[in-house]
Amino acid sequence: MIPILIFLALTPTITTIAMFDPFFLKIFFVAIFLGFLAGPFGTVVVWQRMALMGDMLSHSAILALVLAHFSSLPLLVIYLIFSSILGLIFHYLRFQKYHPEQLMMVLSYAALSIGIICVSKLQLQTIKFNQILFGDLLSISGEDIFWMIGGGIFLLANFIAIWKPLLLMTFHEELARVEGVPVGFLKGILTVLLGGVIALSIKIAGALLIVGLLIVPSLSAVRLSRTPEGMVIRSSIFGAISAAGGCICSFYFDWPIGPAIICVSFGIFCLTLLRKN
Amino acid sequence: MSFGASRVQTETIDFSLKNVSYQKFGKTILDNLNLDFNSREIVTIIGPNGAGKSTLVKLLLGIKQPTSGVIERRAHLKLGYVPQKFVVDQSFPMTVERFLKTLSKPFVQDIFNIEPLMKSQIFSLSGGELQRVLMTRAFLQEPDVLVLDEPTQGVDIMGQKILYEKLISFQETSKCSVILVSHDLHLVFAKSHRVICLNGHICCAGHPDDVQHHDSYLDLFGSYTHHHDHSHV
Repeated sequence: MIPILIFLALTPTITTIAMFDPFFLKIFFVAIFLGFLAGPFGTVVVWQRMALMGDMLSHSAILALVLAHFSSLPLLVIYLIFSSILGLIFHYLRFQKYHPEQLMMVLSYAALSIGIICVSKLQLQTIKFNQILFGDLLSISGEDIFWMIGGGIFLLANFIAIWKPLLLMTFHEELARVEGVPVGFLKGILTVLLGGVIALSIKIAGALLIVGLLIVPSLSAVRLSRTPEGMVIRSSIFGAISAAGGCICSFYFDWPIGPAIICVSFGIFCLTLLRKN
Repeated sequence: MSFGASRVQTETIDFSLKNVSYQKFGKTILDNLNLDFNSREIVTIIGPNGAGKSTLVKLLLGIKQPTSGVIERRAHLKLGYVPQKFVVDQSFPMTVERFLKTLSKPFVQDIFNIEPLMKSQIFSLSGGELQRVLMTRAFLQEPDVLVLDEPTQGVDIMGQKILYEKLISFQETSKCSVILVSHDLHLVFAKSHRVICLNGHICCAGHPDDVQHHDSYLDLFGSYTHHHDHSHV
């Protein structure tokens, strides 16, 4: 109890100091923006049960790191291209006898292992596992910020464009199909968008925790919302608060950023459980 | 081979199936169907479990594609679909009111008395309530063809009667075609224009009175038809 009180007392001072540090300020607002993005896309992950797809995409992002080592493109762009293409491949890949989710589990762990072996065998000194797996604020460059904001706005615009058919598809896929919703195509788009969100936020949340960043705020919003729009807005707010809280903890208490965000997010989730239905 | 009513002009046919088969996992679900669905007709599809009734409906709606054969559909056909009983995920918050707004049509007539359900969450509805909401939405769309896959699952016997009465009167005023998968033989027989008895292939088809005395129908449903003279409300 006492540490919490001390923390609460310190918070205003900390935030005031933080406001004068231009480097922190930049990253702080980018993190809030990415936390906000977790609202719409986390909601989609929950509704469409794409958590395993998300895991697979983020785990295989380590392979993208290896590619980045041999290319002059910015890491974030390589992430973007890599996870979009991978998402599309798995969207169209079908194997008999395996449920797509089962296949994704296999590939998710395989990709993680292959990525780690590649990184260690290729002696890529520039790559630090902690940064990749749990996120690192200090690795974010000015160029990254540009891509995060621009890419985020692009993803958000796409999300708004598919909102109406998405609702019908979530309610009942076949009914949506009868009413002219191109269900397969729409799911392909969702996969690419998810790949995009993961690519943008991987430096903040880390490859292991990114799906948590997406779904915890959305699941916190489920119990409080009566409409789909309400759920998206609430989870965006929760995502933004989590990112802000996580940044403060990371910057001033030197917590790893990804886990810090998830912990704040989990705190919000627990609070929502207190509410009676 | 042609079943049912006499040949009609093409523009009065909604769907025309030619040598349509459907296989899944190497198992033949539907075998060489040749069948026309006429406009403004109430067609009831009956058959035992696993007869391929839902598959036939999904082929008509374009949800599934036939393994072989052709399905011709009248141009610009507007479809209304009431799917088989299903469960809505609890993580999908959606009130009935918001759900009806996914159509950009005004909610004018409360045929199925869903006004009291308007503020309820879709996932909290009972099977019968959800069916009423889905039927309301399908009616609002003013479809050319209304396809219903066992719409009375989870509805009590009095509710079934009311539901079918409303469906028939809607059909009479809107002049749409109705394709209905049903087990409630005693309730739908009288009002259907045509009954198709399905069991992988078409066992028999035609006017309800004729089908009822057809040998293959009696084989499948001989002990099945019975009349209810009471309800359990």
